[in-house]
This record gives sequence, structure tokens and C-alpha cells, in this order.
Amino acid sequence: MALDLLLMLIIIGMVAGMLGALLGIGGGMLIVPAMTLVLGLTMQEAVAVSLVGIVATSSGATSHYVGVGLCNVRLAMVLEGVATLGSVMAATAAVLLDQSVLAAVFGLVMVYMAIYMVRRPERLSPPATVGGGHITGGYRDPVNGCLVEYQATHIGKGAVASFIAGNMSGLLGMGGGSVKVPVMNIIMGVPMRAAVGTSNLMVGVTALAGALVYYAGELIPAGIAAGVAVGVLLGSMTGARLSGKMDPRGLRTYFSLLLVAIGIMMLLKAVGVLS
Amino acid sequence: MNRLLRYGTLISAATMALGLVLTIITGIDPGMVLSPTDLFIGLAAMNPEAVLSLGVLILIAIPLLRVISLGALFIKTQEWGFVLAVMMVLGALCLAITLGA
Repeated sequence: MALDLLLMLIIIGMVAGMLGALLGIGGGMLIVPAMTLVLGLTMQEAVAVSLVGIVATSSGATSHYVGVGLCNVRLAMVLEGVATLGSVMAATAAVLLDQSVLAAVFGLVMVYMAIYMVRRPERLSPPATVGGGHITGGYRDPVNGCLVEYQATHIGKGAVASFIAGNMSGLLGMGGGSVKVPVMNIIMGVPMRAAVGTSNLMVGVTALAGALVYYAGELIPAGIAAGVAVGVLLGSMTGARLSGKMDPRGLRTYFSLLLVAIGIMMLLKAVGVLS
Repeated sequence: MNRLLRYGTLISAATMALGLVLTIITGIDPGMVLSPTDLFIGLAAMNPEAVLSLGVLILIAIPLLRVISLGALFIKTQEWGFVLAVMMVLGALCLAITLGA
């Protein structure tokens, strides 16, 4: 492997890892286009590399989030059961479905969710009604030091959204955090910081399901995946530390902008502008 | 769990970094793919491809170990609903290996 290629892989991984940790997503929406458009990998190889990168993002950032209490492991496991199942089913079905149709649907969903998040303010107070069961959690706010306690409600709705997020992960090599974070925050009433921390754990497990399919099928290009993963680990550790010093509202604005970018990218891919 | 995440991540990063250095020195193709069988044969011979693949394998094993450790925690605290959730995750991961193979 040439040194310049290795440096490029590490830089791509670092950027994806840092953004992924800051926003509670896996970074796959950056890795997949970078692999296909810059390095000329096939979509299948790019997805395999992306899934390994997402596992690295999650591993690098989650150790920090668990340490500071921002990751609700009970909520994560309840939602992850269906998310993982959704990822495996989607990965299996992906070979039978038209990718351009899937990309178009995904792009539209992302743009819709970005608009939804901008129009509706972040949920900072507990929901008025508790429905569909609830899971409690708490953490000490890293900015003001106050203890924040919350109830994650509407577990059923969260499970349905997690299943859909798992579907998207299995199809497109993404962690699904771009769906999980807004659903946990807006529908389930989980504070943004805890939603991002919990999502970081979840995307790693969801990506693992897809990565196992590719590993068992001998489809992971190890050298490229390792280069990206090393960069992702460096970036995600830095991103997780920076996240505690940022305002959640600013974090959400960046997140919404990122959703729009993903949506446009996927729509361009669907109509053939992006290969 | 935090210790598992931290040490597992460090070990996988160190293994992948060693493999990357070896691939630069030997100039092998970064796009190579190793089967699980070739991995063990290659490791015995200290092939760079095998070292890289081992690093990737350790990395993707971390979330699996994390889920298992959470299952053990929930059994210890007798939170059977959450044990069931962990079993669902592990079942889906087994299904992934079966379908991939």
C-alpha cells in the first residue's frame, strides 16, 4: 500500500469519525461516497468498509459516553433488538431491490426529517403523557453540572423507528443514527445529549450485524477498512470529547444541515448524477 | 463495560496499525480479502494481510462482547426484560452470520 493512499484513508476516517461522534451517527454517509467517488470502490466494498468504520466510531466514542453516563444501555438494548433484526433483513433483501429506488426514498426521508427537526424545537422538558412503557435515565450535564433525569417514553414507536433505521443501515451502509437520534429526542423525550450517547452505542451494534454478513461472505477489503477504521478511532475520540462542550441546540442545527446534505446526495445518486 | 471498550479498541487499533505498517513495507494490495480460514494460516506465518484482518476482526468483535457483557449485567441484576432484549440482539447477529456464509 502506498503511503499517500494510507494518509487519505486515515483523513477520510478522521473526518467521518469526528462528525459521527459529535452527532450520534456512524459516519457512513461520508465514508460510502468517499470510497465510491474518490477511491472508485464498488458500492458493495464501500458499504463493507463503511460498516467497519461505523463500528470503530461507536467503539471510540461509546467508551467516553458510557464513562460520563450519557449512554442509556437499557434503552439501547430494547431498541437494538429490532434495529439489528431490521438491518439483517434489509441486507438480505438489498440484493433483490433496485438501489436507485431505495436511494430516492432514503433521500426524501432525510430531507423530511431535517425540515421536521428545524420546525419543531428540541424537546427539553418531559413529555406531557407517558405511553407505551417507559425507561428511566439520568446524567450530569457536562456544561452546567446539573443532574438531568428523564423518562424515555413511547417505546413502541421508538422500536418501529429503530427497525426502519436498521433497514436503512443494512441497505446503505449507514449506522441509522440519523433516524434514531431525532426519534429518541422528539418522540421519546430523551434529552439530546443522552440521545446522541445512546445512539452511539446502538449504531455500533447495528453496523456489526451488516459487517458480519460481509465478513462471513469474505467481502471486506481489510487494508482499506483498517486504514479508515484507524482514522475513525482517532476522530471519534476527539469528537466525543468536543461534544460535551457544545450547546445541544447548536448540535441539532448541525445535525439538520447534515440530514439535508445526505438527502440531496442520495437523490442525486438515485437520478444517476452521482455514480 | 467501559474497560472492555477501551482495551478492546486499543488492541484492535494497535493490531491494525501494525498491519498497515507491514503493508506499506511489503507493498501488498490494500484491497485484499481474507477468508477466516486463511486468516489463521496467515497469522502463523505473520503475513501482513492476516495481521490486518485480525485487527478488523477484533474491532467488529467489540460490539458483540459489549452486548454479551450487558446480558451478563442484566442477569446479575435480575432484569429479565432486558435479558430478553439482549437475547434478541444476539439471535439477530447469529442470523447475520448464517445468511452471510
